[in-house]
Amino acid sequence: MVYVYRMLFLTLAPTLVLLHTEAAWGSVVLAVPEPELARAADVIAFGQIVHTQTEIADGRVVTHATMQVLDAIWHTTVKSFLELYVPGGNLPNRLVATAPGAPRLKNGDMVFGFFQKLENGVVPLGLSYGLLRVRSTQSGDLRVYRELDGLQFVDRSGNPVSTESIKIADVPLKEFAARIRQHLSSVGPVDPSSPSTVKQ
Amino acid sequence: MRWVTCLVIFCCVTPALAQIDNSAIECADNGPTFFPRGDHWAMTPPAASNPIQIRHQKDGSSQALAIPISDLIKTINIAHTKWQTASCSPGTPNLKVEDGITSYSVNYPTRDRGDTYDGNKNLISSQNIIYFIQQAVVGGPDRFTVALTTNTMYPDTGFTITSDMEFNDYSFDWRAQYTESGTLHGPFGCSASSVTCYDIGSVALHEFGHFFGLNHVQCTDAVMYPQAASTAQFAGLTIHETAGICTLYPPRNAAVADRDRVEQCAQTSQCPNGQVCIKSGILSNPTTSADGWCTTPCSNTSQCPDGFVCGTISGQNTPSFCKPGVHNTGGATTGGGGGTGTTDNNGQSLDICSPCSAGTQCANGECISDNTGLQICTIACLPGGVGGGTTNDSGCPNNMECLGTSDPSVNFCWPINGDATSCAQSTGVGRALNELCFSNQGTTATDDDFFTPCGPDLVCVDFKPSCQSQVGACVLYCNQSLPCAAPNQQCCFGIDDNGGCVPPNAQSPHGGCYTIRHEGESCVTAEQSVCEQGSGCFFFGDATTAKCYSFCGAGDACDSSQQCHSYGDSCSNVYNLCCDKDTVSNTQCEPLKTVATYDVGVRCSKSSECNTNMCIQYNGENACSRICNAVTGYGCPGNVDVNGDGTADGGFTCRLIGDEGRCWPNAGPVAPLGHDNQCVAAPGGGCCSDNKCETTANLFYNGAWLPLAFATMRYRRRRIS
Repeated sequence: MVYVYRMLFLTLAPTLVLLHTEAAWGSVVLAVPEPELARAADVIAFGQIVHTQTEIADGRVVTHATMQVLDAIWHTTVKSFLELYVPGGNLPNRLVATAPGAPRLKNGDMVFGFFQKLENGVVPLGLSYGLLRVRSTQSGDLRVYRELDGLQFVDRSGNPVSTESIKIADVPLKEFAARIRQHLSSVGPVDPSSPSTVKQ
Repeated sequence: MRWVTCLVIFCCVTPALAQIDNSAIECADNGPTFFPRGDHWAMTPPAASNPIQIRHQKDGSSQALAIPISDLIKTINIAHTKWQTASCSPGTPNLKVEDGITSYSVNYPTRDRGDTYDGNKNLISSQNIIYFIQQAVVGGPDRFTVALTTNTMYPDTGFTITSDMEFNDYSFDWRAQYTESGTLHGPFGCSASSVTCYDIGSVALHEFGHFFGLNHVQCTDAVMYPQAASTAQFAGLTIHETAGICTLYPPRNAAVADRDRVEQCAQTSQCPNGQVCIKSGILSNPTTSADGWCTTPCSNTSQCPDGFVCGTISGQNTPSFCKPGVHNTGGATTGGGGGTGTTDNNGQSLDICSPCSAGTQCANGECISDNTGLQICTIACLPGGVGGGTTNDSGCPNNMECLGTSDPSVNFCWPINGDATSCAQSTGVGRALNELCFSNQGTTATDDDFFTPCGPDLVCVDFKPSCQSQVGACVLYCNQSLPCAAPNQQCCFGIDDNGGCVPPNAQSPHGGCYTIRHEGESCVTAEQSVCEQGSGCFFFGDATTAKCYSFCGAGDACDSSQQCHSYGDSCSNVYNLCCDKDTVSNTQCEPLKTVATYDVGVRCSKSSECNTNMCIQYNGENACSRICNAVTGYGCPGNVDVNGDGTADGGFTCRLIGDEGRCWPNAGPVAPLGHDNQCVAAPGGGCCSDNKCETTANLFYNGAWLPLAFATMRYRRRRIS
């Protein structure tokens, strides 16, 4: 059994590296230029998942994640909590509901989200397309990247969008947040509800 | 070298679990390429009598769409029929899908999701729904998501229970056309020349590939090519999809009396000779439960048919069996990917050290545990290194070493000394319990505050603003339905202006766990910084000596051995505190010594001596302990003073003791204060003994742990003024 495992790993490992830029899956999402994504979002924030639980919402299995806002970019406040919902989740008896392209969230995850506001919370725009991951380097720098797994990208006309064109890989968080703020500043004043952008 | 005791259930079979692998595989130079994802439907023979039934949401699809319902249903039915009628030479796939309206004239009066659950989230009944959603709802397509398919399955066996396909009908327009009996019907719906007009048939054909368990391939002519235009019209399956569906659902052998390979079964006796009925094994009656399917036992993948790999079920004493996977499937026949997008530019896993329960949760597929219960995602490594034999050459991140396993040829990166907290911190997962996560200096200068993430299970909670700053620290997360695990901790939904615990309220549904401290007890660490009502946390000069003091004055009297004395802080606030009569001065105040129980890490003989009511034995010694998360390593106090002698005592490691994680002091149990009779140097000068330290007389209020926490500050957020 161990031998089998080893062989599998050794053969899988090179493929992991080769394929990591081109992955996608069945959920079809709209991919728009970054400024448009920023302006389309009701809420934009960098934060951390502090709690997750699977819920059944109108017959759907959803993961309800509580996200603590660490940097408020748009229409939220630092240290507040966002109730975030994504499709899929773990059910009793090992049943799992998975939606391709939907981010799988767990406690401690750091994310940078472009959200659509719903009555009882927020959802990311375009599943993982609108919920970027943030990782910390060993030196403590925070870096943003976008998971492309499980997604098929199209533009507003339904034409395919190259994953290469929307790839975000290892962008420093500060740089990325500044870039998003810049996108927003071009369409109006800085969000007054965001104390991280305006000193009280 | 310390050896990682690699549990067989994780280490040796994880890569072959029926995991949902979201990658695409390379296209073969010639011939078909397909990608079995690992999940699949198991048909019950005869398939014609037991089809996978899909349910079109009749009213949902006819309201907003300018497409007659019958034509819309036909368009979608044609999509899945193309898969079912693929030519497998000879025969067709052992697969049967029908829709309820067309086949059974079923009238669906409501637009419900079809699946029902009981109060414990157990799936009671399910239906496979085709749904054109007309408003944003939780769990459905958001306004950027064109179409979404959700499968519910047993991931360990790949047995699919139900699948729902949703089309976004509130943000996008749809069109349909189809050919029936040589006659073109349509086009219906929006104009193909207009923007946001998506072809239902094309999207559905692609989605049904996923519905049946196939993933993307990088063949530009394939239906399962991930970058196909949603406005295009697919004529039908290509050689890639045909090979894939015929391999996953091989044509039924008519000579088989009961169940054929990959068909549903309840017990092995139903399967062809030499095959087993493999189940998730979690149902109450595994002999008769119907969630099994017939497959071939194996010991390695070469014994499996094409399109199947050899794997087993984690935690189950079941034989290894052949399950759908990348094995002779065209391009990249020896690979299949995994964790795409979760590796950095060097292909390094991004979630090393993350807690896990299965390889599917890890970027590189390795969820490994050791004999202490630590179970994390990690990566393989070369113990000798590629450059001459040092750990740094092994490919492991800093603070990790390359350790061998029970198989000498397999090595994994592992946190040095098995310290999960160190592991997490080394990869920057977040601040540990009691560490600073937020600081606002209270000035108008830029770059004067920061906010940084806490580790798993922790939340950043603000403390009462001191006169100089507002700070927050990482404490264990809780809410009204998730109480604190430690019996002596209380869920506080904020800290009020007096430094007290805020009870649950509608405005603050999220909270942190605190040990409410009594007069005389240390309040240095963040989770111990809340003093009981009528008292506050103060220190004189040295923050590491902060304790809870009772307030006095205005009717609040002190104990007979105390006197009420006024002190001011650097912001001209005045506090009246009860002080020990024998030591009180303008620069010194000792609270009443009412410390009756020990903190975590202090030597004990029985649980009642501990404020956690938990005295445990480990390695022949006893110490007060508390529950922690053995997987993440989080939940223990940091390097704090546990016995009140003014010196830090070395911190804790969350160890698996018994069946649960327990905090154990790294330097061993610490003697209770006064029991060691040692005089140690105080950080602020002077000499401490028996809980009395002479220090300088600066009074601060509630923020005693601030200097400690600032020592670890590393991320500052610039403010825009």
